[in-house]
Amino acid sequence: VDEDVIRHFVDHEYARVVNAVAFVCDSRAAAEDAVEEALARAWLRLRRDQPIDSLAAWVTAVAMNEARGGMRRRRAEERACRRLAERRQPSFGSDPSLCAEAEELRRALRRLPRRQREVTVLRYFMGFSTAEIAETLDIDQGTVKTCLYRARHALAAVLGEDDDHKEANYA
Amino acid sequence: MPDLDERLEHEMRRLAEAVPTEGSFERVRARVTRHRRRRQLGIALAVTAALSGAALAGMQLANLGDTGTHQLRATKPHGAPAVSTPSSLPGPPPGGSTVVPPPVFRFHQDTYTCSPELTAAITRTWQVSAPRTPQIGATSVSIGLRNKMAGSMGDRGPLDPQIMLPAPDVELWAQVVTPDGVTYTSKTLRLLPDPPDNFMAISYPTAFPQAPALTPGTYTVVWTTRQGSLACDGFTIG
Repeated sequence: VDEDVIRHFVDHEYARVVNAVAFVCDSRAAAEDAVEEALARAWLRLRRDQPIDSLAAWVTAVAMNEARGGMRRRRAEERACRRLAERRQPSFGSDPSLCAEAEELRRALRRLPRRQREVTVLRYFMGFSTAEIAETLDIDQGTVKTCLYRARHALAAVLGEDDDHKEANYA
Repeated sequence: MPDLDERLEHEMRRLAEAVPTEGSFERVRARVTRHRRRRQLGIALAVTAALSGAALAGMQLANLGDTGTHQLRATKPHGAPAVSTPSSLPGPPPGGSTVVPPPVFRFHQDTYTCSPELTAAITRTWQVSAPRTPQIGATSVSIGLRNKMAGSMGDRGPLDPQIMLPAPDVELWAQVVTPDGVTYTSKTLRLLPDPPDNFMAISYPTAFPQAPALTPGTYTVVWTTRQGSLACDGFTIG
């Protein structure tokens, strides 16, 4: 049963979570490594009959923690770059088909402080609610709202939009 | 501003890349296997370290013996009936037939620790039990030991006793050092691997031949195998 759960996750959720973590750590290689490590821990946890309410949220949280480790990231990149090279695919963030606006957004994301970047990715890419983001990052909801407000303000300028939203409007 | 939210969602979706999942499941499964092997290896190393540390403690004792402060006693032949003999520190025991040397450890009630300290590997493996508050006017106290990881590794499946325990029928002694420095050794005990959560408990001074009645002061309890000390604990009589 545990194996089926993990296999289903790999087939349906893995790519999304890898992308989310890659947005935050700016490295798909490190993101893949972190998500696989998180999945392995989830599997061990399930084997011990320790329940996980939302596997996607749990794996995302653990993978983001993993990806924060600098040394781990460097080691992972070395391993995964070899793997990716074998697949002959371009590395994360170098898709020539992306329009200039999207590329600008990617650069703006990179410029955001780490916490704001994490919150932005979880909200706009993963579709998490404020409460889910707070639980995933182990911060309070007020901090989530503040980070979202600031990140949104910075990204609005990149996208050429005005951002007159108040912090309290985020749910 | 809904427009901005929608645009951010849309643009971020465009930024997402196709991530091939080929081989991912197999890599995750390989990691699980590695995690489990690493855990087994860690436990095996912990036991090895515990027994090595115990041997080291014996060597320290031997060194002390060279100075005339302590002396190692003769080891009882394997399989012979255990004889419990009171022994004092310093000096050899009466009759010289005690199966294990007196412990070098001393318990400190204020910190619940012993000095010298047993290694962390031992501490994690062996859990001790004794009264944690000074016992006023007690006539006996219960002391216990269990192997936290015996019978289970926190994972499914039986545990290899070759790794987890010295042996299912390992000979074990509890040694109690009284406040005035006299050591009393229990009868030979056998620590069984099952059930893993049960403490093996004995009473002091009841289960310690020739041990006198409790007197005020701090007592040190050392759990010892033929290879050396496993865990140190203690209690205080008020």
